[in-house]
Amino acid sequence: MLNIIIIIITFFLITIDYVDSQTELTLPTLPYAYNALEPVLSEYLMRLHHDKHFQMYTNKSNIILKKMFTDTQSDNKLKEIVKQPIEIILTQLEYLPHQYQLSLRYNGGGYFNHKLFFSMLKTPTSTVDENKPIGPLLEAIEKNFGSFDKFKQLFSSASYEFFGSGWIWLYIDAQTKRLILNFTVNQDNPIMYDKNHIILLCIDLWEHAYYPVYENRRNEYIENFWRIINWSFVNQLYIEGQIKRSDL
Amino acid sequence: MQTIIKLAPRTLIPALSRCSKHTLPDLPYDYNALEPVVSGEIMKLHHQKHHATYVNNLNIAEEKYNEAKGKNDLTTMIHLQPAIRFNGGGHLNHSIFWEILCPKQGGNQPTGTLAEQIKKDFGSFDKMMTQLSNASVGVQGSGWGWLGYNKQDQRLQIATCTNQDPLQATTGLVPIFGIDVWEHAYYLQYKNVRADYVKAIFDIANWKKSDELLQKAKQ
Repeated sequence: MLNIIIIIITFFLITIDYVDSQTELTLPTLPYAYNALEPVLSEYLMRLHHDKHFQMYTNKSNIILKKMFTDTQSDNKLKEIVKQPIEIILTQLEYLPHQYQLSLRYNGGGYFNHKLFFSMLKTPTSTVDENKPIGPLLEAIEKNFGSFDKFKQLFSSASYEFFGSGWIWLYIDAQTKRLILNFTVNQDNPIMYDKNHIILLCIDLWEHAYYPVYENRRNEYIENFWRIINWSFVNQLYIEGQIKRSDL
Repeated sequence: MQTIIKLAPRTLIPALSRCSKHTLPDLPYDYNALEPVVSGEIMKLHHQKHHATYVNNLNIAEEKYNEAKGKNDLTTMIHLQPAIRFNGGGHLNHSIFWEILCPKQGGNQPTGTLAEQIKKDFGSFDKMMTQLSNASVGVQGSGWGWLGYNKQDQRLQIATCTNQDPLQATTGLVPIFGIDVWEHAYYLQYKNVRADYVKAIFDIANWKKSDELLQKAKQ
């Protein structure tokens, strides 16, 4: 009797080992309270942005990922892709069938972008000038842009001039190792273009990211954004990025 | 992905421009006239801030464009084209938008030429509404959903445009009815639920105006 039970349990466990499925995204909790970014970003805005927008990207991504995995037309290569973490899948969008590609680019991109964005924010400093990076990151910014102030001016200008929905990014370029300032539309991000770009900083320029507090005054949102950047976190991304790049 | 290029600056130039020919049109109704579908708060911001900014920036861009043209500075002319497209499109789109909306009336449906054309090209008003709604809700990011008239094929079509790309300049279709699905058009009231806004907007559609636009397009 005991032998039979052991056999059944073993068979069950072996079966579980081989029952795999697509990656399933979960909505990360914010690394701070909803009201932590007041008065720059209100609790009301943060609740909407996280619990509605970010949640929706999460849900829709999961629906698409499941569809891709269970679609009888999906080959093994595709099934392997959708088992990867989202940040890997987003670098392989060109392998996805047409009917899923656009949707996953949008929703998966939305998931990835918001996960990163919310992680790089913190309680605001009283003034903009108080909040700046130190160490190797600051040196890299100075080297690439002339000065931190010049970098801020370029980033702010690009953010203000950008038209429509999208993001502004600071990243380490995959090929040149230089720090690059660039934009993407909708929920695109730099890793969709080169998996080896190392993202350091971003700002969400969709209207939902600022409208409840700033209405149409995007310039005020951008000015205050400098108060809530978590430079420790960004510095960490930079250090990790340097390590990663030196291996290539 | 292009690297950042410096877009045409939006710095305000002292008001010495000779040809500020674009002006912000008045709304054909009070700011709160479209309640409860679109709040007075949204209408005020939408008109006095967003549309006004498109008008101002269009005038600035055109002034610079004319200056550059006068000097045969093709580089600057081309550099300014995105700003003219964004702001000119914004001005065109919103000018049409205010006209094709009106205070809520009961049992709101198209009549006349428009009703016939919709029936012919979609089967029914409901089918057209469903297609336009789906297209509008489905716009990724910022843009517009449109019911447009194809003059060559002599039929109505649903189309969407990105950002402020104006329908006619971009697709050739004549705008008959449209829905602004930029977040600023609905966020303060509907938050992230664009579908509710799109559903509700049919209650304030000025089908009489759309009928006029169609008749004009068919001439």
